[in-house]
Amino acid sequence: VNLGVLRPLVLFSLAGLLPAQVTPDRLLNASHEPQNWLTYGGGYASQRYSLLTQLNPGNAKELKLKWVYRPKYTEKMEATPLIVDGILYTVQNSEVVAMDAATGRAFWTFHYAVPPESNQYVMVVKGLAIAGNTVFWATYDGHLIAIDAKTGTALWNKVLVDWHKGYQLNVAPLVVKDKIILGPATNEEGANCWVAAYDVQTGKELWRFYTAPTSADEPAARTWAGDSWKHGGSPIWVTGSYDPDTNLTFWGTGNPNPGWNGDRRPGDDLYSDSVVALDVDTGKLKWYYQFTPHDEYDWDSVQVPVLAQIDWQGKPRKVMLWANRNGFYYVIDRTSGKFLLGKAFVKQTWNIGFDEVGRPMKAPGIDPKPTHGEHVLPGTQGGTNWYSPSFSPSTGLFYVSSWENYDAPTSKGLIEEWKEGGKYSGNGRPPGAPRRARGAGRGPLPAFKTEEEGYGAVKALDPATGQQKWEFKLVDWTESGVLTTASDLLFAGSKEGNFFALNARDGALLWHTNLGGTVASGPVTYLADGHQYVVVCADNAMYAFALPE
Amino acid sequence: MLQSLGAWAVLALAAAPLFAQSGDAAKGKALVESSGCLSCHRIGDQGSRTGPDLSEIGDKRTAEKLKTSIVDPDEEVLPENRYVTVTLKDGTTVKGRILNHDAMSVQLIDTKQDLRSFQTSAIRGYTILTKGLMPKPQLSDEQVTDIVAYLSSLKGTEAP
Repeated sequence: VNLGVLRPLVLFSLAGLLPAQVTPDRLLNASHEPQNWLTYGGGYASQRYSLLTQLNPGNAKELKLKWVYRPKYTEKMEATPLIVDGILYTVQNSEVVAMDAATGRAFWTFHYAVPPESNQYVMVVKGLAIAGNTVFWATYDGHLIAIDAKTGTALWNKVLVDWHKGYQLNVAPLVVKDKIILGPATNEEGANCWVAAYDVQTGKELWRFYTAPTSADEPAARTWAGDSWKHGGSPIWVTGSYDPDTNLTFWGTGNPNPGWNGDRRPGDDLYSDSVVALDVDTGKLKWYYQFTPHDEYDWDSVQVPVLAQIDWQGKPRKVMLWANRNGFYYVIDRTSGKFLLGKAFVKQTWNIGFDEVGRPMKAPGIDPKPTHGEHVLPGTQGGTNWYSPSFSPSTGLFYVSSWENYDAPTSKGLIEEWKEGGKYSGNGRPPGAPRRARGAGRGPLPAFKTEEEGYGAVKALDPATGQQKWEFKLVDWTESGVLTTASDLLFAGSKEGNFFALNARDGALLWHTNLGGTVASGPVTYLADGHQYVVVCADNAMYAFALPE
Repeated sequence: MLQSLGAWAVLALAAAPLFAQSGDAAKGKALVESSGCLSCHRIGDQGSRTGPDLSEIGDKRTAEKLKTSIVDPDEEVLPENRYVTVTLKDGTTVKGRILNHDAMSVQLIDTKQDLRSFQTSAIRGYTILTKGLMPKPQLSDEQVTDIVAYLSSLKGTEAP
């Protein structure tokens, strides 16, 4: 045997196959591969924190545009890309692409025609998942597609939900061990949702946990009046997290249906607006915490659960950090689900405190009125929304994109008769009533408004107290995720079209550029050819920045 | 005085001709042209661009709203008609109608009708003014009625 001939072949095989195999162990330790970005949240803890330090507060001002990727679709890109050993995978509308992370040039594209009629809002996708050599895409119209990461060909294509029944898939799946975990959403159509696990090899469903009841016998059904649980919604809009120490996966749930009128569903309406902790092997509920019982404001709890170990009253404690759409920042013991802290991070008027188990006490007189009721803070879009926050173990701070001084008149309309695949929002107009002005209640256009009329901000909070350490003010609202690094850089963007780097310790602006469109995704960072890149999406394009050669 | 004439208010698409019809539009036009209103406002190809353009104001606001804008200009100011005062790092100030702003910069049309843009990092600060943008005019009720009649007649012209 001529080893001299075989050796290059062996090396080629190792180089070509092994690095791209994303094993469960690699996913478990994703945060220790800062050259890559292997899950939606940058690791199972969803901290969106990178150990890379090539970019730092001293050289951030030298960042230059390296490449732009512009898909053929016009919807804004909300996807967080994955980066695996120099290859970047992302998705938009009906297409997944694998590209060279250093140049933005495509290796392959995979097309699946998502029917436009399945689009109830905007055909956006939050991202992909990867395991082994397979990329997983949950499509808007309810399919879960396994794609060969090397060739871009479909391995299998399973229908998980029927969009005609008011469902859609919007999330980036979460792969844990041999399971793909995700759940459907319903856009105010009263379709009861769930979190489920599917086999990574076959797509076969392994377990399912309903976030709204499916039977009157379930304990959760007793928190809904009558049979209102039948159309309770409680959608899954963003990806959950995973704690290997407890083998629990945590998912936030959306609002109950009908969303803006709770008259038909007196009660807490479990498990809407909650975080549910599920055993990864069985899907059994270990604990839950409901942030907004009996929600009538559309305050989805669809934020990404950030897992961290912080100093809590003098002792290290494994917690979950959560800035909620209802305007409160929470600290929850992630092992037991115990409520530890709830503190407003934006101006709010709906809550006058918490009881001993963390149940919010609603302020009197702010319940939605039939038409143009009392103003409530935060408004419908909330103090924050689905935008990924970040926790930096380096600074010890929690960062969140927020809407400050933001209010809107509460109102509730007629409850529509439930019809499969139809609107069930509780916001219907009485016969003869004038149509509401589009955007009513959101104040003046951002180009002209004052700070008192509301502003977006990146806020840094002390994770143990919720105390604000600093804020970087924007004029317009923001939908951007936040990225932090071990060199104490913070990257985020804005609806104004700006993408910027801040000093994560004090919020000082270090660098910015105008990308000309809404930043509605979370920036990520990685290494390619030895250079640290940071990529972000603005409007319907992706931009990559790095230091000059 | 008619530099006070504000379109500084909410769009109201329905016209209210009764009030306007009671005035003399020709007298109102003369008053507008003789009273300095055009030093801020523009009508057609006349007047300054620093204040709200009134060329099509008759299509946009009711006579009642126009009257309020004249006699009590602070009552209702459209956000897009607000002014901004920018203070430069050397202490000088620049005032103008705000056209845009974000976290990094502010854009305005200044009192010389020049388009200006300032990086927020290069200025000491800026203040958006929502009140006190024009003085209350000294006009008789009849004069106000005439001016409202004139403004209500301004429907603009079709673009070529």
